[in-house]
Amino acid sequence: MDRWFWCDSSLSSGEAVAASAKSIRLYDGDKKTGYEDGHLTLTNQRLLWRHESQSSSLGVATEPANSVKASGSKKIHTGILGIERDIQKKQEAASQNISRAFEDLKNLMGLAKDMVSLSRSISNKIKEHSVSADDTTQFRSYLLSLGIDDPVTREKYGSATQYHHHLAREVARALEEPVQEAGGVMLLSEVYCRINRARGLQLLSPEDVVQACNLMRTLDLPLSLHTFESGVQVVQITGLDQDKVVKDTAQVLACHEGDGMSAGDLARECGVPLLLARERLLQAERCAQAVRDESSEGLRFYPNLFFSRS
Amino acid sequence: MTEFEWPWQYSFPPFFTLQVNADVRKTQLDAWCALVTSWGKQGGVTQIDVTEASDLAVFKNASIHRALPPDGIQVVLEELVRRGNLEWTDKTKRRGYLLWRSAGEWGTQIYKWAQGSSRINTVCTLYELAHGDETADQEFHNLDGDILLKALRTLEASGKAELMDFGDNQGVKFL
Repeated sequence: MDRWFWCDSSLSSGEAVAASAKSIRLYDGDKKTGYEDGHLTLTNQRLLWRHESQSSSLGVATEPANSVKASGSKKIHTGILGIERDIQKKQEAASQNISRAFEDLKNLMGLAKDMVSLSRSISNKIKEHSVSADDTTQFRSYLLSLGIDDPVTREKYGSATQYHHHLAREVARALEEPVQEAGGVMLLSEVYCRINRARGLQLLSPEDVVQACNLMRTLDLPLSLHTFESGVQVVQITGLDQDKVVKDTAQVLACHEGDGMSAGDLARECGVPLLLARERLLQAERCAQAVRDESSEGLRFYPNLFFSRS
Repeated sequence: MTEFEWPWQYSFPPFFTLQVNADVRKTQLDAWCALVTSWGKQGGVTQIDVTEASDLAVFKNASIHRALPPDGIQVVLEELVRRGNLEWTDKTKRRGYLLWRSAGEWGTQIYKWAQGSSRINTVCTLYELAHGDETADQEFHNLDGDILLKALRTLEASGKAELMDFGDNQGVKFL
């Protein structure tokens, strides 16, 4: 806590008067004190109050003396070396920020603002200085893959249901095309990864993604959540023709009448995740389009010759 | 004896895994029952021991490295029992008579033969029926004694025959 103290009225070296006023009385809170009709001087280091009759002043330091010293020592490194050190220091601070940000998600959320402004300043620098064309395009593509400009956040929507409703819409909007490209079905885990990648920094928790996907059906969105009997959850195009999927699977199986197919074979052939390939085969089995063969070689599926041949 | 002609299912690997889909399993069990009975008929197999069933050629195909697992064999045998093609010898269900014709069908066939060869109201010994020269061209020739007895019992139950005991030999009178 700062207090008034008696000190020398004369200015020390480097001290300069900034402002001064006459006939000033000091108060202790609301109470008047005996220190009245004085001369107040504000310097770059102190605030001084002096009665005309006295030679010494009452003073309060406005700035810690040692910081003045530090700024003085900094001045020594001017020139190119100094600038270089300055830049290096800034870089160190930035890289420290980055590594601290990735320590855990909590920190990341806390530092999100700094990170955003950092990325902005980088992009501004790129605009100002002509960095090589390759670097610029690469950086642009990074920024573009961050995707959603204005992610739905919990803070923006008060109630949890409102938040999930908006989130469901956002997921459907962002992922309709990728899901269509993947053949109409995408594993929930992949949906989680993709939406978080698209949002960049406003990360979602797995629970929120599941909640949002659960709501899709009620909102009449182009995507909806589907749970297989095995418990595997996928997001698929609403109204995806299950019969067609089964028929497609049966068609692929028919080409392997002799040796059958494992889930891995189907995954490779159709370019779908292993888990999804397995679900497709099981679904085909439920529709009597495939039959299983359990042996030491693992679980394989064959076309249902029991029906087609007899 | 001619080589048994295995059906196509026998070299189809999923045939040796019990199918999960109920409809498919039904078709699969149909095929199994048909295979076991026709195989038994061809090879003259009259009894199946549950503990040794997994060694039977019908339940494994070495050329495709597949064998019906024990619980699968159990299901097939139970299905055969349900269809009347297998009868347990006792309550422990460890052995069963394989009836590629059910006892009732055998009975009808024997009665038809008896009618055709004017044996109504006459008495035959069981040995005569199974091993006599006159039945040599009949399907029930060399039929297992126990199964023959079961067949005749079904006739007795429907009032078409009467079993008689001659001490160490048994006979039957067709009515």
